Amino acid sequence: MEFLAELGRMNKRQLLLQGLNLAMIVTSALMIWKSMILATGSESPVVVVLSGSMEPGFYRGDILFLNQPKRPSQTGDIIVFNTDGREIPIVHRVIKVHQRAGNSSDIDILTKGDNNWGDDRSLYPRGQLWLNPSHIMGVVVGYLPYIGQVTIVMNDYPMFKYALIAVLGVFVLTSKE
Amino acid sequence: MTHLHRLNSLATFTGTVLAVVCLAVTATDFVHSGEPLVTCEHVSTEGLQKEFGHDRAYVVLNLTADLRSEFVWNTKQLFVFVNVLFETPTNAASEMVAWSSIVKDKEHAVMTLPALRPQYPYAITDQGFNLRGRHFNITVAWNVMPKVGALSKRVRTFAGFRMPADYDNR
Repeated sequence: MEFLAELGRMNKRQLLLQGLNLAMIVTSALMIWKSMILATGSESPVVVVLSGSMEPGFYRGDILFLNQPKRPSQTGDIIVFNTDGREIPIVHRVIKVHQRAGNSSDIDILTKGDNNWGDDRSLYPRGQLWLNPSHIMGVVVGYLPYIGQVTIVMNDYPMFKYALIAVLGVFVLTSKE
Repeated sequence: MTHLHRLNSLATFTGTVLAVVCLAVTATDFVHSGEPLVTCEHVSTEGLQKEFGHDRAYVVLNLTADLRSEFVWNTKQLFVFVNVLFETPTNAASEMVAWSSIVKDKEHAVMTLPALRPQYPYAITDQGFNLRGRHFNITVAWNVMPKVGALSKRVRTFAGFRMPADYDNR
C-alpha cells in the first residue's frame, strides 16, 4: 500500500489540501451538471440508451444529449419521456401531434420506436392514449456512440463502480499538483 | 505508482483528443448543404371512415425523392417520413406521420413511390369527426442522424388536397 505510505508522509496541512482538491472535483462536476440543466431546460440533459427500440439509429450504451425547446413537439422529433408510474425513461420518436385550438400548450402526442412494429400505446399506463408536454424530459439534439456502455457496466456490476471510484480517489489524493 | 499516473494522463489526453475530434467532425455537418430533389403530390383518397371515437382517412400519395446529396461522411442514416397536416375547429394543428423509411446509404436514397399508402402503425386520424371536406397539407421531412454529433431535420411542404365531402367506406 504505497499510497497509504505517501499519505502518511504528508503533514496535516497537505492532507487538508488534498481533501479540498477532492471536494473541488466533486462540486465542479455537480456544477457542470446543474449548469447543463439550466442551459437546456431539461431535467436530465444527458441520457444513456438502455434498449434497442431505436436501432439502427441508437444502440444500447449510446449517449444522447437533450434539450427542452420552447416550441411545441413536432412529428419526427426523438423525445425522451417518462409516464407516471414508470421507473425508466423511454427514447422514442413522435408520430402524431394534436395541438388544441386556443391553447398552444395543450398538446396530445403519440410516439413509436423506430425498431418497434407498433406504436407506444401499449407502453403507456392502462387507459392513457396520449403523452402530454409534462411527460417529456427533452428532445434529442446530439449523439455520442458507445461511451454510455461504461455506465451500463457500472449499474450491472456495482463492485466495478466502487473500484473505479476508489482508484480515482487515490489518484486525486496522492497526486501533487 | 508513476506508471499508473502515466496511464491516467494518457487516458485523460486520449479522452480530450477524441472529444475535440468529435466536435470538429460534427462542425463539418453545419457547413454542408445538400440539394435534395423531392416532390410529393396527392393521387387519390381511397376511403374516409368513421371509426370508434374518430375519423380516419386513407390517402394515396406519389413520392419521388433523391436524397443522395444529404449524405456526408458523418451521416449514419436518414429517417425519411411523410406527414399529413390539417386544422379542425377543435385542434389548431394536427400532424400525422403517414409513412416512414430508414435510408442507410446513398444507393437507397433515390425513391420512387407512385402509390404511397399509410403504413402500419401510422394512420391519418382526427380526434373527433371533423375530417369530411377538410383541407390537408403534405410535408416530406427527413431526420439526419449522424455517426457522432448533432441531429438535424429538414422539411419540404407540398400542396395538399381536400378530404372527401362524405364518408366513403369502400
